[in-house]
Amino acid sequence: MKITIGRKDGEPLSFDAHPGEKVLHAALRNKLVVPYECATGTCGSCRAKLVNGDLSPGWVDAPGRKALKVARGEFLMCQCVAQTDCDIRIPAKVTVQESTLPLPQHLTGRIGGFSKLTPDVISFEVTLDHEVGFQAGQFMVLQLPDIEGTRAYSMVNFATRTNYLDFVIKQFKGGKGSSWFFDQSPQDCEVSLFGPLGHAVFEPHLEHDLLLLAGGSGIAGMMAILQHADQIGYLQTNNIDLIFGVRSVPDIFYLPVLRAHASKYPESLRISLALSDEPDSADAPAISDQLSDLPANLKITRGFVHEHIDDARANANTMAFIAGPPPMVDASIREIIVGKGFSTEQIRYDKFA
Amino acid sequence: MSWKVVCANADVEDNAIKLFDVEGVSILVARVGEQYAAYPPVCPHMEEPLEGSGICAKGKLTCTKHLWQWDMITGKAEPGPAESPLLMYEVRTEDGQVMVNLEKELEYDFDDDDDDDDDDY
Repeated sequence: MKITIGRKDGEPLSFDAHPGEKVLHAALRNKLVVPYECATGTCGSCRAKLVNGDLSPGWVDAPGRKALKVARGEFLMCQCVAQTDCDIRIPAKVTVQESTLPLPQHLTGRIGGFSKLTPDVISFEVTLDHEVGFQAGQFMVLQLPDIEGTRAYSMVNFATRTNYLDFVIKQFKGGKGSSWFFDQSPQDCEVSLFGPLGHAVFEPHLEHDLLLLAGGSGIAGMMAILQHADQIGYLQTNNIDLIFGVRSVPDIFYLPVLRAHASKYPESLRISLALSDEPDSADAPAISDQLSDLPANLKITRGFVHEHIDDARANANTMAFIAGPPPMVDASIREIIVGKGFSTEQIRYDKFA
Repeated sequence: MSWKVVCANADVEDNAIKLFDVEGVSILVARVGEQYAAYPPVCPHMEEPLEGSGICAKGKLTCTKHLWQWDMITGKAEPGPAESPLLMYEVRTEDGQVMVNLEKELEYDFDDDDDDDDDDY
């Protein structure tokens, strides 16, 4: 199918979509820069308008459809598939990607390696049929067998080219994708993916100091950034502060890796684990009794992530990365703009509602 | 001209925004020092209510949804993601009160059903 995007400020841009391919995937795969965030039907950022042609609606209960004016032909590019050649309009500037960054593509692989990290956090891996390139901080959209809709997960690992992807997922009670992982944990099952996606990427050549703010499974992309930074010696010349929020001591995960990073970079890396629900009473065991031998630059504190931002190192050259539940992301953005005086160009995040 | 009283000067804290209803029209009033501005209550990007999602710092208003940012008094877009300015009501202060020229309710073109010119696209 041929899809044409009409533009106010330039010639129309056309691209081909495979039969059954979502409009967003086809556009991105063809190097077009179009708006999107979650790419899974939740946020509504990829809304567009059908001018001519026929589209199938995709996931009709997608939360991102709530704000659409369907009667006016509005649709979500991440959900809809062209049934005929289509003319569409997009309420944003559409350009052709000029960078040489890896283009997202359709991938297949096998899912497995399930490992329970805490009572409600699982890590899993996908072995792709061929190698891909991506940037630390990016994510893949996964289509799980027999589950309607797609799910987005950020890569925990980083390699310049790899066919191995490491992911982490937090249990969401009642979530179909979540229960697929937690109840079934099917080993060696085929899965289709689209990616890499996401704008909140680590660009080492910019030589920023980094402020990494993560809540729960939002730590995934931060782990990839730390791995990439470690691989290239980034912490020899730049500082990184990581604040990682979980509920309580039993909810902490990735501690061995974080401990190893912290030990290797005692000055340039500072890590705070912020515990929002850790009991603070005479009866509760002290945190220090539960976790011993931590390096001085890996601290365990009580409170929410945004409550510890004030203690983090920051300057005009600092780039903040934020990932986690929307309330955590919003509170953190507020704190770094109002409290730390960051400009909006010093903030990168992908918000998954 | 149809000047209406929106609030007392002191009703809006310095470097802050506050939402008011003036004869059924929602108006967001911004204050920086003794300067005031008034605009529609939503972000021109995706209609996010700015009273909840907007944050004020150093004379700039930022929508936390996608980090669109404007000068609080001029409404001009700051460098960064913002692609359009805020629509501005004419404002004056008189006898300790903030007044706006409410000749017509200002609204962003979000492609309303009865609108065929499709400026948003």
